[in-house]
Amino acid sequence: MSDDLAFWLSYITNGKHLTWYASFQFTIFAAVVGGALATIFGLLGATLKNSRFWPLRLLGSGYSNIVRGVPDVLFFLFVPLAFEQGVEWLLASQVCTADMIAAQSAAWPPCKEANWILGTPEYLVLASVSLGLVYGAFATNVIHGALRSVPGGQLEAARAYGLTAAQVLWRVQIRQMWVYALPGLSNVWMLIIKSTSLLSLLQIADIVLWADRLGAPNFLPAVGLVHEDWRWRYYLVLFVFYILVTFLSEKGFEAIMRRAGRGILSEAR
Amino acid sequence: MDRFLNELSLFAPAVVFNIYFALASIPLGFIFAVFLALGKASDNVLVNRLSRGFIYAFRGSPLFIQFFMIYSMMLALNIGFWKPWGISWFVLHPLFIGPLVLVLNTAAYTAEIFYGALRAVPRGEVEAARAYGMSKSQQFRRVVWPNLIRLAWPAYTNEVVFLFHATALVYLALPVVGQQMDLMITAKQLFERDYNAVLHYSAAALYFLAVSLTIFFIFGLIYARLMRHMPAPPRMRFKPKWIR
Repeated sequence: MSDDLAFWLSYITNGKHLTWYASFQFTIFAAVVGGALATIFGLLGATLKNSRFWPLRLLGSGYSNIVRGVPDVLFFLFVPLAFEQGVEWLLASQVCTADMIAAQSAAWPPCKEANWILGTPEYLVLASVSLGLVYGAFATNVIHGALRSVPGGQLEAARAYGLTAAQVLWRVQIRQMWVYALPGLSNVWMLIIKSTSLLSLLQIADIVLWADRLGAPNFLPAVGLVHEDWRWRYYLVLFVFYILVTFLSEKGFEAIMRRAGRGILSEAR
Repeated sequence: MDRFLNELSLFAPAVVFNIYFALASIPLGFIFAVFLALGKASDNVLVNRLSRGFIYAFRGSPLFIQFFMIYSMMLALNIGFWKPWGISWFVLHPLFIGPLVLVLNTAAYTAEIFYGALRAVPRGEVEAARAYGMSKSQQFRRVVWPNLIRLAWPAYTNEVVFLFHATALVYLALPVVGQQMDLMITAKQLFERDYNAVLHYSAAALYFLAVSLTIFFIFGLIYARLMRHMPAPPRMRFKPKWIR
């Protein structure tokens, strides 16, 4: 019995498993940075949508409607790939000479010197930006609605005190908006957490990729424990992990909402 | 321009797969969701706990993981069950597993919508139905259900649009069989051929947008029909919400 326990303990702490545990940092990084960026893009989009200048208004609503109208995974894949290509195209226009282009056999990049090779850290940053852009569109919608829920009397009072339009926006409207936006933002955060499972699509060695590798059947004793297809066990662990994260976020947001709602009429929430 | 039209024609067979996945999972998911919502509102402790747990689990985890998990479970059961029964060609096919997972997933989200609508059904109307001496099933069929579906319809429309978007994940998680490729895989393959991300991905996005708008239009018509007794039927706007 204790031998068994020791065996399984050593199995789940072997090098591969430790790499798996370490790869949780990518997921957490993408969620946190993506969430922060989504809030920033959301604020930006909502301000654009509220703008008095109609092209900016169009830009804001176009951003939030088009991004929400196509699947998140499509946009999530498109942004990093398009950005990488854009940089390579710029690079190519600077460094490539006619001979280099003639020597290149592949379709892209135009010449080998303009190739920009991305590793896990670069893709992780791009993926976080991409998550921020996609879910910023959802946050734009939430924050736009919340900005309009701030009681008009508050804004009038601020204007009567002689604050400028920008001051009213930043010091009164956005300060008070959070209470109304929090329920929606908590939903956006749940969406971001769930979409961190897509990181492996950008060749990031994240928890999903490692679960697949660890669970794959092994028939060679030299490589490690011989076992059949155990992938379902590893995916079950991830399934439970995500449910736990959702549960904890729910509790966290409840606490934040209680705190942010102090001094505000409960019917407002 | 010619190139773009050509590109659109390349995607035409692919969109059929996305539509198939959506069409196969919407009716089943709808029925399953009604039972789940009733289960969540039920007084029976076991039924209540089970439906709550199911809804929470499938709403709280990524669809992508659900695909991997259920596919790998089906693979693990292959030697014990599917192979001896001679149905592994069918049970392990993406055209079966895709709708299976989508049904489980959309049922959980839809059940949550229906549960919210169920709680919003005016209490007075149910009481009046009871006072008329209607049986439980009569109450449900004649009073609760018509109220519920009208209350839930706008949110359900959003859910169906999101379900259609979720079909983009099917072949990213499951193996592609032969030439059966949906929009995302087609875009990915074309991209790997000539590295023109903007053209291929925006063509796929256009298809998604077009079908989403079509779904929205059809569901709007149904909503207008559901609300035909109202003096001024409330209009629906294309506004994918953050529910999911």
